[in-house]
Amino acid sequence: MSYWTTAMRIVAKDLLSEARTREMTNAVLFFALLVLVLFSFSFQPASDEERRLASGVLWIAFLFAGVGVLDRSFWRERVNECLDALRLTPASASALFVGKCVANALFLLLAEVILVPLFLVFFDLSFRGDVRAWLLVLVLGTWALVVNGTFFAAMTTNVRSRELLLPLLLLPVSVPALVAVVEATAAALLGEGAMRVWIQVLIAFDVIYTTLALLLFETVVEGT
Amino acid sequence: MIEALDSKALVFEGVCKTFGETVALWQVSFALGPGELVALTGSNGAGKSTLLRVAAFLLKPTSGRVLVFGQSRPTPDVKRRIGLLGHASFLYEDLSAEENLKFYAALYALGREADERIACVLREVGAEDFRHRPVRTLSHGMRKRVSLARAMLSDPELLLLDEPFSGLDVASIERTRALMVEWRRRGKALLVATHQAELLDGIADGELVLDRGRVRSWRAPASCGSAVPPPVRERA
Amino acid sequence: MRSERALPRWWFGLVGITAVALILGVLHALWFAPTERTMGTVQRIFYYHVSSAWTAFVAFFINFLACAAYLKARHPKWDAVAVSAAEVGVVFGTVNLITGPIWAKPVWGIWWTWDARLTSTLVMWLLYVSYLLLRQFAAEQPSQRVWAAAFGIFAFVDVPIVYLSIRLWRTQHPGPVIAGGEQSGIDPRMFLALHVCFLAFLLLFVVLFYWRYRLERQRAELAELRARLHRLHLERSA
Repeated sequence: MSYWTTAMRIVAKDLLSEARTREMTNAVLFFALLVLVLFSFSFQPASDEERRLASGVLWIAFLFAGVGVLDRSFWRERVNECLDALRLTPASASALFVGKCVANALFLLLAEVILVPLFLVFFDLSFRGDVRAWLLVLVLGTWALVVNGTFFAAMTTNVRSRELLLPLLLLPVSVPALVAVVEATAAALLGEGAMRVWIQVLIAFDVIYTTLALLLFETVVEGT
Repeated sequence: MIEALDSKALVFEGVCKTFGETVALWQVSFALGPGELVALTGSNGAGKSTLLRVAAFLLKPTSGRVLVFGQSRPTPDVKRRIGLLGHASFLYEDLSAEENLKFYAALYALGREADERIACVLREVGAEDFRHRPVRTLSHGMRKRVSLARAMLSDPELLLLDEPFSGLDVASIERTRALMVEWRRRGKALLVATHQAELLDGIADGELVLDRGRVRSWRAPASCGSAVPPPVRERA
Repeated sequence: MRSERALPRWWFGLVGITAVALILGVLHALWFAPTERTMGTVQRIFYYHVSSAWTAFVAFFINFLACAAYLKARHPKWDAVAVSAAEVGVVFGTVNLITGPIWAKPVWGIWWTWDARLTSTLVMWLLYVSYLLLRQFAAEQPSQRVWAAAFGIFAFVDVPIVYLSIRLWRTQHPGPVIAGGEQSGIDPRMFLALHVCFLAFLLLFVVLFYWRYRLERQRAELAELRARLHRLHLERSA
């Protein structure tokens, strides 16, 4: 079975699982929504500086959502030791990893797509800049979080305090991507500022870390 | 000398497995050939589950050698020939039995025969009636059947069963025993771990008794004879 | 496995040399180097601030190499090198992060600024603290060492990326830069003092690193001996 088909099988399985219960999307969305609401009590962006701040708030909400998705995604695998069952199959470990990444990215994107309009409403904002370019930023930024997040979630799956450890590992590593997305989002909200350069940063980050994750995953998983 | 070790389904040569200071397995040696059923017995914590996981290549032995069909490394080909029924069900709770099997069938690259194979294993274990219900809603006995079906998906020649009888009623136990006999008849090698050794009376060809990780006794199947490898001496 | 009960003699020799180097460093930093024109005496902390940053970086680079070696060869000694380098590196990183504000406040009036250098040293410190936390929480499982090694590689690859991205960010939002380590027109005596301090810190790093490394190896040896003892006991009682 080809690499991509294996990966897509995992995606299909995760989507099907989630469609059945919708537990994850509900919980994750609700939590991220709470974050937005709480922040909107603190300020209503009027000036440009505050629009910039709002961009940060949005990505904090996305971060919470992302960690929630990752946690839940691996919980499903852990419940009946399905990770071991996956290791028993002849399927390549890195294909399984890519499948997990894509599934997680789809879930996170879904949450983000729902949160963005809510964000615009709560903070009374609109995109003055190039929205299409910003959508690219959204996808690239989501992938940046998910590719490392999935790797670290797999890493901490048998470790105590894993809910605490996952963000501790993910956030420092994601700093460049976070700077890029927050800046690009601010530029999109303000209608000024360089988005292109941050898109390039994100592409570089994504390429570097996707390569690293793929290279290392198989090495780490084989032979315990 | 050891003859025809390659013809054996599973060979353990002086296998030790330690986790830091804990010794899970120590100098375990035995061999299991096709068409043989070996009971793996011992009290809880004796190391039965660890042994099965090492045999399935989920764990690497700290020392010693494991050979499955003559191979010491889990190549995709070898993996297809091993079926493990673990302590946990290996099933996704929100999916139905059939969906679980379809998923695993894809990972085992069963291709076009997948549907046929799935129908076949479900029929064999008697899980056809509830194939469409989410695993979450199934009783313990039903789940065990589906897990067994999953283990049999790729029609493995080596079956490793960890406590297949636990939590089952008498009728289910009988059915499982009958399945084991049938699989053995088909030429599969079975290694069945249970702390209720009496349940395998009459169907086991051999018995490996573990005590705190060490082999307390090893009764080889009749055909085995001298083909059991001698334990490997530890280098001081 | 070789069983060395005590630290080797050369290590004690090195401790002596390090002590001398540190004293030399102090002399240079506090005495030989001239007082900076605008900042005054407090500037002298710069020698320690920058040296500790460079030393931390060297430590994390060693961690990176050891992690890669461990992934390749899976020999526990590389894992011991990795954890020792990371721990001592974090200590030097902490010194750097503490001396920074101590210097900045009297001179520039601010405790901190998010310039490229400071931010990337902070993030680098965070990365390796996370690395150590990962190891700590996963301590019971030997399989976790492999994962930790992978994280070590992720972390080190991030360091230059963080620096570049913050630099880029700063070009768009210029802010105060806490000067330090600028080599442009630096007085040769200051240059010398900086490098003497750096050398002293490097030696101190080696001393601490090796001590920690021996400790780690001895722990592994102890675990192995305990396991052997346990087995012998089992065999005896058979």
